[in-house]
Amino acid sequence: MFWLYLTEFALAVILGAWQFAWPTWLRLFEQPPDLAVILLVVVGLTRGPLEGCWTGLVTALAVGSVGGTPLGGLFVSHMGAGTVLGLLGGRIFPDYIPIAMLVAAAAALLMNIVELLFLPPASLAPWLTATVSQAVMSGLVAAPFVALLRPVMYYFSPAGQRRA
Amino acid sequence: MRLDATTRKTLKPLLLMAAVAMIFTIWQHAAWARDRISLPEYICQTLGGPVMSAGAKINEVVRDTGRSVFLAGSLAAENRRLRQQRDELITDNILLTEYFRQNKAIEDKLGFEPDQPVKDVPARVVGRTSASGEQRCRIHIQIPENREVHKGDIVRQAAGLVGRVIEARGRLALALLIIDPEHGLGARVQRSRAEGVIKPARQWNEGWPDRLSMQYLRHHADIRIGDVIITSGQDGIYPAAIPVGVVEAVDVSAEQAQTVVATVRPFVDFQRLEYVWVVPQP
Repeated sequence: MFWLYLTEFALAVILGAWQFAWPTWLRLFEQPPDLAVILLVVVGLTRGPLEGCWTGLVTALAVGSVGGTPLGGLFVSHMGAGTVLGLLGGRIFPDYIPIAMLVAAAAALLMNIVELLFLPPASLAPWLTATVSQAVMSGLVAAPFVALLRPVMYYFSPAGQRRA
Repeated sequence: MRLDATTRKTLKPLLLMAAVAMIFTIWQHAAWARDRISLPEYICQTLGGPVMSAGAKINEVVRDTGRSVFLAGSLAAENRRLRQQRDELITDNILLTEYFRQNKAIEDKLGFEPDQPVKDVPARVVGRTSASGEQRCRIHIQIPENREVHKGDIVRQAAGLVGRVIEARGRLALALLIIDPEHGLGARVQRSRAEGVIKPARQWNEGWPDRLSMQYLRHHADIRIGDVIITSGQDGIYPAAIPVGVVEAVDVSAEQAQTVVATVRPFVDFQRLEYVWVVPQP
């Protein structure tokens, strides 16, 4: 269990930092994908609410620290999303990548709305454009990341439950 | 209401994590109030720095490789043109070296103080913040080993002003760009010396703004399209005479009869920032 939690922390730091270094020519309306959300989707759907919440905690810490943003709203949105995705784990088939892509896009959208309550933007129109762009990018980019991260999560499952 | 054993087993760690999150949030706010960063933030930034640096290097390699493949034909022509320019520059350089020596000899005769050695620090842009919630325009920069930058140092390119360092730790620093909504700087029109304040333009380009607005210009201020805007040095943050941008439009509306507002196109292309200079504060 310790190694799983440590792996999730390492992945959170790597993906949280990487999204800030995401190439400008691969952004949609200047918005990179939310790689932390993709990690949350993979962990939540494959592991459960506890691991989802832990991943939410560490991804929020990584994204907030590297981006220099207040942590309060990030913790609420990320930990909430991780827990909800964990609870949905048994109901949504995690091996079907298009479903994971849709869930990632929806989660990115909802998390931005939650963060909006904590840190209202100066004007709504650019926020809306940025949020929708980020959700679309997160959904698109989710495919390869889910394919790569899912086996890592299954590696830590008990032998009988491994599917990859 | 009694909770079953399984729910209790799940709920306990969830509450513990919520408490940890709350502690981290309070810790961050307490550290920020003292103009510092908290330990968890420091650890994450230290671990995330090499990732951003590696990401920036990979981006550069991929972009250059892609460009080479797609623009092979035009690159050959550009290479020929650049070779020709290089030859011309070598000739110019020889002339300039000669002028420099002559100038030095004259300075020595006149008893001029020798120039201070250049202290500017080159830095690579390894990340950029574009949080959708607050639209902060900041960049993460990495400086070479054995060099250091400090909070308040000025960030610029050869073309013009980029921003200033707001956080420095080790080889990584966070810089606030002049297009950040909360940024403002004292500026003047190079030709007429009319003074005003430069802020990001309100019309956001669906993401990062690419235009600045020169405000608080006096009525009848002498400012025209094509005028070059430079820092005035009056704000106590930036030294004078750093190029900022060029005037694109001048608005003297009836509502703002007492003031003139000019739209300024920055000299720096903020969408393509790769390398910058960090200039120590005087």
